[in-house]
Amino acid sequence: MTPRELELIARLCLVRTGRELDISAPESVSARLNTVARREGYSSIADLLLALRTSEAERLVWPLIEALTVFERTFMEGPTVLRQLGQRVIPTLAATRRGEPLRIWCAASGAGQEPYSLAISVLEAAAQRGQDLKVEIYASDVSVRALERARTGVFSHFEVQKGLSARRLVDHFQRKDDAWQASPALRGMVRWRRVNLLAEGPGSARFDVVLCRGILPRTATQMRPALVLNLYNALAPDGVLAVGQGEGEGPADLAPALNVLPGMDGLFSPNPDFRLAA
Amino acid sequence: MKTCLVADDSAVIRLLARRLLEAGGYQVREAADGAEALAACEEEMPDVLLLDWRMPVMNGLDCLSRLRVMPGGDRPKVVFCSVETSRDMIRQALDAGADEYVMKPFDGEILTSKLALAGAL
Repeated sequence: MTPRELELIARLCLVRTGRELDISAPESVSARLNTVARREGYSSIADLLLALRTSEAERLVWPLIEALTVFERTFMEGPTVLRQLGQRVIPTLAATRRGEPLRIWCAASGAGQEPYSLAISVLEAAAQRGQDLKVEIYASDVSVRALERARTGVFSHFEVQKGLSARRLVDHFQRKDDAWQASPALRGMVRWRRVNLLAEGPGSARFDVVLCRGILPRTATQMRPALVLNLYNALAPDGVLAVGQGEGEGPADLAPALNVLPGMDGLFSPNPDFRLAA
Repeated sequence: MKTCLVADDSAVIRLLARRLLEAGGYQVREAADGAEALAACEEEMPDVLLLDWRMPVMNGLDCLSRLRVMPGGDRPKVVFCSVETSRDMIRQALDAGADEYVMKPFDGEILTSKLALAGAL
């Protein structure tokens, strides 16, 4: 790919999703674009990029962006954050909701490892505490392909062995041909919807917990305020935002919309004064 | 340096595991069946036992059961490593005292993840 083509692609990702494309490894970008070109019936990346200048553009632009911005997640990633949510935050919030289910938004769910991991954490916390923790997990991603895959709950032999203990595997998954599928109980806890975090929040609904891990560092600095505002607006007044460990602590990232929850890693609460100002 | 005993009747798997484990800083010994593995444990208890299921002379499950009643046999982290991938067999290994279970084929990332989950890193 030429530097000009790389710049064009990077600009497209930035404008549509706010994500900064890593163009320091052009061969990786080319490999992903080659896959899209073949799948969409073009013989080369150059032909694919030419088609972006035609009436085909809107049909092609999202498959292309999805292929470039997708990143691999593993099960039970960031175990400290999951443990804090399962053991402390969710039980505490549940006690204040008088039997109403807690609403949790997994804002960048990828192929599904994160929402299913969260569902496992909730089930385990409920079993340990002997408490009926009612939750509804809403998972979203910008990638339609990732959502279609995630909804099936099917993961390869390799995927289920990264981060997921053997005990959790046999307790929460079942064999499906050569792969593994999340149990009906796990799948029943998660609902799926496409959301572009830069352009929109999840709708008018407020969430008790929002997970948005790995996105903030990949979002261009100038686009972060819009992302943070969407996350802030999605939170209930006493809700909790979970980001990855070490994310969001820069002065221009989550502050002043959100405050660090004392004693917690990667957890933030909405700043009520910011709500008034907004 | 942590020690790992690799018990597998396949020389290829033993070599692959040795390379991955040595790259991770382990000192590695090898055994070709369960009886050899027990003898090696009697000589010196490893920190980790990477244990195949189907082996001649003594299979992995019998080896694990005997290991756990040996003096000091509760100490090694035991990670099964097998082509047996049914839920029932994985559950059987865990109930018998295995700390983790690797399904073959595996790569370095899987082995590292499973060793971490077993508390062996």
